[in-house]
Amino acid sequence: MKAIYKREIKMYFNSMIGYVFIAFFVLITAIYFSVGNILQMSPDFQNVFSSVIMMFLILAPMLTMRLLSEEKKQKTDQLLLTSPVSVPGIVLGKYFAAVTIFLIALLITVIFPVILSFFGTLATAQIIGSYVGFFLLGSAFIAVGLWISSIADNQIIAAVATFVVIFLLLMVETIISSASGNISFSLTFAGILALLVALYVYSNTKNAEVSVIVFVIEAAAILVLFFVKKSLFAGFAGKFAKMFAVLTRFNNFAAGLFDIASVVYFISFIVVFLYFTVRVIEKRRWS
Amino acid sequence: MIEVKHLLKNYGKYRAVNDISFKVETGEVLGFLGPNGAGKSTTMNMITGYISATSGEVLIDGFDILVNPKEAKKRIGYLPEIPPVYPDMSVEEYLKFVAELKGVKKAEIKPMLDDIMERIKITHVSGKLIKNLSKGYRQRVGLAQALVGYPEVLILDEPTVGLDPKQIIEIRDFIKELSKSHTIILSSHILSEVSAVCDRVMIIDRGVIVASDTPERLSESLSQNRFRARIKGDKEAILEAFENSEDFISASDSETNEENTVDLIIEGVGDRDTREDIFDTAVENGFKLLLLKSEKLSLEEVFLQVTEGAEHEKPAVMEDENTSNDENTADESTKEPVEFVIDDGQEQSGDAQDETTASPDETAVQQPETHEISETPENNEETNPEIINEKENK
Repeated sequence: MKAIYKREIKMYFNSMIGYVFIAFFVLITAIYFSVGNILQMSPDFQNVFSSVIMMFLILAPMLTMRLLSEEKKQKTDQLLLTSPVSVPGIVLGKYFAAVTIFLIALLITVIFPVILSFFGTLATAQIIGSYVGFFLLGSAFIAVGLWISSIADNQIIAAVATFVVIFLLLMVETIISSASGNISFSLTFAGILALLVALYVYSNTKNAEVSVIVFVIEAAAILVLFFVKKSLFAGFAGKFAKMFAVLTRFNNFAAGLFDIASVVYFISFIVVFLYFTVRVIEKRRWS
Repeated sequence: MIEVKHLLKNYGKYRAVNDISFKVETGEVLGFLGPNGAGKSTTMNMITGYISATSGEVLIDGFDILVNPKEAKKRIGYLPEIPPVYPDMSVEEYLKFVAELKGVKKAEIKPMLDDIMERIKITHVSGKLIKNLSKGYRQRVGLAQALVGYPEVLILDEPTVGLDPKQIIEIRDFIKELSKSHTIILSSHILSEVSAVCDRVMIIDRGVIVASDTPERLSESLSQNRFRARIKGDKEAILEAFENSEDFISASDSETNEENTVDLIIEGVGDRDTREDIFDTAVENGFKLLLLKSEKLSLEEVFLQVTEGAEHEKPAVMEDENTSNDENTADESTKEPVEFVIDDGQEQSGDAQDETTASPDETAVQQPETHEISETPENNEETNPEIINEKENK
């Protein structure tokens, strides 16, 4: 794991990606800082982060797109997988390397609140909270990106897919919560979920009959539930969306709350996606 | 050292490797031979733990590659078909990374890498980025990578592919040198390489072992007591004399370049010295014997016979073990300068075809099999869909 971590860090700085990432991140933060804090003469640095979050759409794929997809393409995964290193070791080494680069960029931006502190009093709790939240949010997105990189065959696909998934993660609440009171929307949503489960079964078993049976059973269950207890569906989609509402979790931090539940949430989120990544690699070896 | 038991691999419905079992003892060099898509690389990938078997076991020094991967993998150095090098690293950086990956102690890394680079002669390119190296040097770096950590077992998948003749000889000599202290499995479709380097050859076709023996014995077992005789005189009379003689199992006409002569391929009976019989028969009938030589199947002919033979239900070669060890024949097979690529799938398949047709002598040698040899190119096409299929399933 250590060897892989060291190599990835080195590669970030051997190629331009590491420098470009850090420069781009610091530049965007600096622009929001200049416009939002210096020109407006406002001490609310935490607002900068809320604006920079959208940049993850580009920044996260930049860090993760080639991590695993390139190994596959260059066949260097043969070296890694035949070396005495475990698959979780490989995944963790790569993940921590990407997180380290992100952390370096984040630490450079500490300069901005320090500058601000010379000219007035800062909301220290909110700023520290924002940093912690922002770090956890970014780490979660990097985990998602790493997972996608393990699935994709080349880095461009990985980058685009990561962009889309992060976009959905950022938007999921806005989209679904606005319509979640509507029962027919929830019903459709449950139907889509059932369909996804059936497709997943099909992709694993390649057995059309079983998948159709699974889907029929699910659909029947949903309909029965719908007629027996309608209230169950009110707000179902909203509740489901909340599981992926990473932005709400971040806002808790930005408000200066050190919310243990949110920390646990982000860490579980990361662990789950790293676990998925390990599974994807293992599965390829078994199929 | 390496023990493979009932190894089986399915890619969807396609069975790439079908119940292979074999053992490689410490210090032995085993050559894997087989047409493209025969399951060589798949087998090697399973031995090294890159992919897992559908069923069956691989034991490296007693450690199961799936149950105890760390211990087993520590003992293996693997050079896959495509050397697993990072193009944007320098050679030294890359080898250092591999050493760390394999858990070599920090103090040992530097001397170990210096030693390996010295032996493989890549010291002078150690600072270059791998993407700037030629194919041959990349291959060497790949080989160096396999040697890092001084593993006891080396698995080399076509180690000389893409190298120029001089490099091929160098790498081959190097493998020979390594074989003194390592257990090696190497795959190749260059047969001279296998016969020059390996103690034992295993021919795989469609995922099944079709023959396994020393290179000498493989060719012997198929060609004992066969001679080529060039005789001067009337063709009809000669043929009649030899075909009617009871001393020979068969005598058949072969092509000749000389005028007024007949070339016969003669197969003798049992343990008798067929050469004497041929001489006597010639003299009795007043013919002049111009040439008499042992007619050996080269390894590639054995290869063709064996891999084709599976369809035609030829007697299995492996059972023919009690052959007398004729020194003459053994010598010849190793001396033979064969540089013969059987079927390299892409551009080289044309060459292989040319060579088979360009040497009518050899083709004519074993007349019963002639039609099979000329079938080779078509046969390639037959196997091709399977190869594609395999890729898709991956």
